[in-house]
This record gives sequence, C-alpha cells and structure tokens, in this order.
Amino acid sequence: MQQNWKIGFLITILLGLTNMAISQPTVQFKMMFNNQTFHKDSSYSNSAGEMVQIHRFMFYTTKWKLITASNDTINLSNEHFLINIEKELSMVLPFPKLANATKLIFDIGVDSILNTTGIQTGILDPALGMFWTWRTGYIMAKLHGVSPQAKTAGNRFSYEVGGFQSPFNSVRTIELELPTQHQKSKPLIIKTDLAKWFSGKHIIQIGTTPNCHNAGKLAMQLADNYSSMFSMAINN
Amino acid sequence: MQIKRTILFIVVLVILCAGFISKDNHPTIAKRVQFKVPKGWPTPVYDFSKNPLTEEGIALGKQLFYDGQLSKDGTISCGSCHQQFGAFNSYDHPLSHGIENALTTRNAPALFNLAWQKEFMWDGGINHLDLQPLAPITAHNEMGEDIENVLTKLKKNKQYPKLFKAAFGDETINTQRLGKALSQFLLTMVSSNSKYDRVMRGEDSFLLPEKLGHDIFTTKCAQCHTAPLFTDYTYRNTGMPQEPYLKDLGRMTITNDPSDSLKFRVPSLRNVSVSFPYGHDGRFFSLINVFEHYRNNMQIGPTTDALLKNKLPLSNYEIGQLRAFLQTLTDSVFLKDPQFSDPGIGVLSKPPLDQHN
Repeated sequence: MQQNWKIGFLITILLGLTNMAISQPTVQFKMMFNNQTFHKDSSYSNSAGEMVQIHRFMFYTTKWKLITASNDTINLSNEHFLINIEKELSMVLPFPKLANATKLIFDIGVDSILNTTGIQTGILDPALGMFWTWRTGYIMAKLHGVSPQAKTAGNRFSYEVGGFQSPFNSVRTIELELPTQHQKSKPLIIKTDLAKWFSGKHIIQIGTTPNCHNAGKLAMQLADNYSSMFSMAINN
Repeated sequence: MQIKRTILFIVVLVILCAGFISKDNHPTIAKRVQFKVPKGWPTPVYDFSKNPLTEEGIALGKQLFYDGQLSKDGTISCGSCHQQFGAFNSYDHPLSHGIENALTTRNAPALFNLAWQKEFMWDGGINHLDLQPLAPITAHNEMGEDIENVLTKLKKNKQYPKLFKAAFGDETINTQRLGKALSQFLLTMVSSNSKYDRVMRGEDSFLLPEKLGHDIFTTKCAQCHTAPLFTDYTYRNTGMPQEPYLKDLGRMTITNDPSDSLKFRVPSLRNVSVSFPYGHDGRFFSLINVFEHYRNNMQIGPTTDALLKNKLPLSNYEIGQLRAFLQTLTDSVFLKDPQFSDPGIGVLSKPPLDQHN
C-alpha cells in the first residue's frame, strides 16, 4: 500500500515533466545527402564520384544558444547530446524557442574540460564507443560505411574525428540564421547534409583516405567539412 | 486561510518526499583511507577529492586488477602483465602478451607511485589515471574486450554489485566507477622503502660502491631520472633507432609534431634491477645492455636529446658503481607487500630467476 502511493506520486511527477517537454518547441535534425533525404541503406555518390553507403553516423553537440534581434545571448543548454542516425529520438532536442531570436549557435564536439578530467558518465560514458581509449579524447563525430572505392577489407571506410588540443582541436562552432517566419508550434528543422563530409571545404576521397582514427590534419579537414553540413530548413 | 493551505501543502509535500529518502535504512559508509605522501616528496598530481580512497574502494580495485573477466576470453587480467615481483612489470617479456597469442608493440611498464604521474603510456597519450585501464581492456592485442561487455559481466556477477555498493554507496556499475576503483588500488602502490630511501631518512648507510655510484648517478643520470621519483616525466629521444617492424614514433603519434619523433617517457629507475627488460619495446635485456647503448650504440638523430648529443660516456668502473647504486633502488617491502598481491595466489616467495642482471 505504502509502495503504491509512492509509485503514484512518481508517475504524476514524471507525466508532468513529459508534458512540459512535449509542449515545448524542439530542434530536429533531418539527415540529407545532397538534396535527397538520407536513408541508411541507400547508395549515394560523393563529390569525387565515389559510391557510398553509410551505416553509422554519430556526433556530439553542446553549448546551444540563441542570439536575439537586440544581440543578446540566451543560453539554451550546456548539456551534451549524442546525435545518432540509428536512434530517431536522439535527433530531437527539446529547447524553448524564442520568437525574436535571429541566430542559433551550437558546438559540434565535447567541451575540452571533459576530455581532461577522467571518466565521465551518462551520454559521455566511454562505453558508448565515442571515445579513444589509447589516447585520451572523445570522438566528436564518426561516419562509417562502405564504398567500392575503399581499398580496405570489406571496402569499409571509417572516419572518426577527435582532438581537443591546439593545433588539432576538432571542436567546431556552428552559426545558423533562423528563418524569420517560423510557426512557434513546429520544430525547427536543421538539415544535415552528410555529403559535406567529403566536400565541405576540402575534397576528401575514400579511395585515398579511407580511415581517420587520430587527431591531426585529416581530422581537422573532416571537421572543417562537416561543420558546413547544417542549414535551416526554410519552409517548415 | 490561503496561507494556511499553502503551509499545509508544503508540509505534505515534504513528508511525501521524505518517504523516498528513508528507503535505505542501512546506508553503508565506506571507510576513508588517508593517502600518505612520503616525507620530502612532492604533492601528488592525482585529485583525491574527486575519488577519495576508501578501504572498500581499494579492495574492489584490487579484485578488478586480478580479474580475468576484464578480458574478452577471461584469460588476461591486469595482473597478468603487471607482476608484483617485477614491480608490476611483465617478467622477461620484451613486448607484453595479449589474448589469443597476440603480442603488443610495447613493454609493459612497472607500476608504482602513480599518484605523481600526470600522463600515462610510453607516449603519454592518456591524461588521467582513471582512464588508463580502458586502453589495455579495449586493445585488440591486449585484453580485447568492449567496455560495455565488461560492465555487463560485472553486473551479472554475484559479488560485484555488492562490492560496488560498499565502495560507492549503491550498486550502479559504470565505466567511471570501474576506473575509479582501479585507480584507488593503483594509487596505494607507493614504492618508497628501498635502501636508498632508508639512507636518505638516515636509517641506513651506503656501502662504498653504492655511494660512489650515487655520486656518478647525480652527475650523469639525475637530470632526467630525478629523485625522489627517479623520473622527470618528460619525453626524450635517447638515441634508440626506430624498430623497423614496430615503426613506433612514440610521442609524435600523440602530438603529430615531428620534433617529438622517437621520444618516449623517461621511466622511473625505482626497482630497476627487477623490472627488466628495458626500453619502450623491451629491447634491452639487462642493465649492461642499457649502459652499452648509452656509451656506444646510441644513434644521434635530429630529435635526440640535447643532453645526449655526445652519447653518455661511461667507463667500466663507472658502470660497476652505477649498478651497485641502482640495486639500492629495489624496494623489497613493496615487492612482497601482501596488500598488493594476487588474492588467489598471494605473494610469490620465490620470484623467477633473473637470468640477465
């Protein structure tokens, strides 16, 4: 009996919290490859004409904030989120959206202090596989797939981008202009174009560089590339 | 009326919430252990405030250290490659051995005085002691396991949830607690009771060769192998040519900086007489090999340490005295202390024969 009211009380609180979350506008990532909606099992052609099939794509994001028309900064969250194409729910972030904001700013990567203070928990637990154990540091973003052009076992390519120390700090800050006419009730959709991994700022060819597993120049180029993969969907 | 209702509401809410707090009637409080810094030693770099030592935490760490379940096939524990009689290095293995006959690319270093060490591995790639065990656990040629699998095995085990509760207050088993428990045990492994330490404390005195060796050591070796830890924890190229099969670039692998090519962490010389083979890839079987390297075989390259640009001239006489001094760095108390030994085996009374020194 005593247990029952405790559970009842908990459920009430939980329901309340869930309701709050649902009623808030959200930010949602929509995966694309060039102009097409991305599907995990489909083949696409990158800018170098290589055929690619992508089966894993994950990245950390944090430090979400808004810039208002009057140039004030509103912090949304300093929490870390792990976006994972295999987990639909991970691609939706619950933030309050303020009507007069003009810009959305966020980081791709993990704050450097969390790379230097031992083992973290929750979404940053190294057990999630987004962490280099042989040299300390988070994998900020990873992209795995196959391509007939990859001269590797199983034609696999594997890009794991990390590095938190200068001159190879792979954290990137993204700034997006918010659409002027946005219906408050609808989620803000951020189009995420995976094709940019190969062509954002530098041309990366799977045929010549199928792997990235360390901090350094290649990781920096890939980070430059994918930092240009985001854009606001205009008609939503 | 309004106020009375509000007060009543708050009181009821507080009572309801209190119901959840009092659920655990017998909370276990782990017994705190004070970390002792040997007299005259620097302040440890490990942040004990984030992971206070407790009897239960240390015991859990020791259990984990000697548990083969941390490896994929159950055959390799931390203790497999870190053996107490060799000051927790790998007996006679130039390169340490992993699961399924795998060989690694480096020599398993001796383990002690880790509270003073800021970075780990021969290349310094790991920046926190708590994170260090994850490297051998996940390396395919060492323990070959996924962290997730290790945690699953520990959660299914009958003992571990209780041991984690005793150490950390509840039964949660996660990567952070695994690392913290192992750190607690590793941090207690302090080696500060060699003859050298007794001499420094005024409780003993050097024999003549040991004293002469100490003087030579102070002039020729102590700039890098600095007392009391007998390392300055820097990365240096000591003129060891790159091994053509391993192709190990050392510190440069981590920094990508060509000026760090072939640099490796300066190892502590405490317990050096029992922790052969030597060098990051175990290429030197005996101290004689090491001395011969320094005085004759060094290959001077662009990143060779400035202190060694002319190699390290050593006479046969000096080598003899240095060997006598280095013997005084052996801490037989540490090598036989049952609080560090394999719970299943205990202290090995007779360590294997030293065929080299």
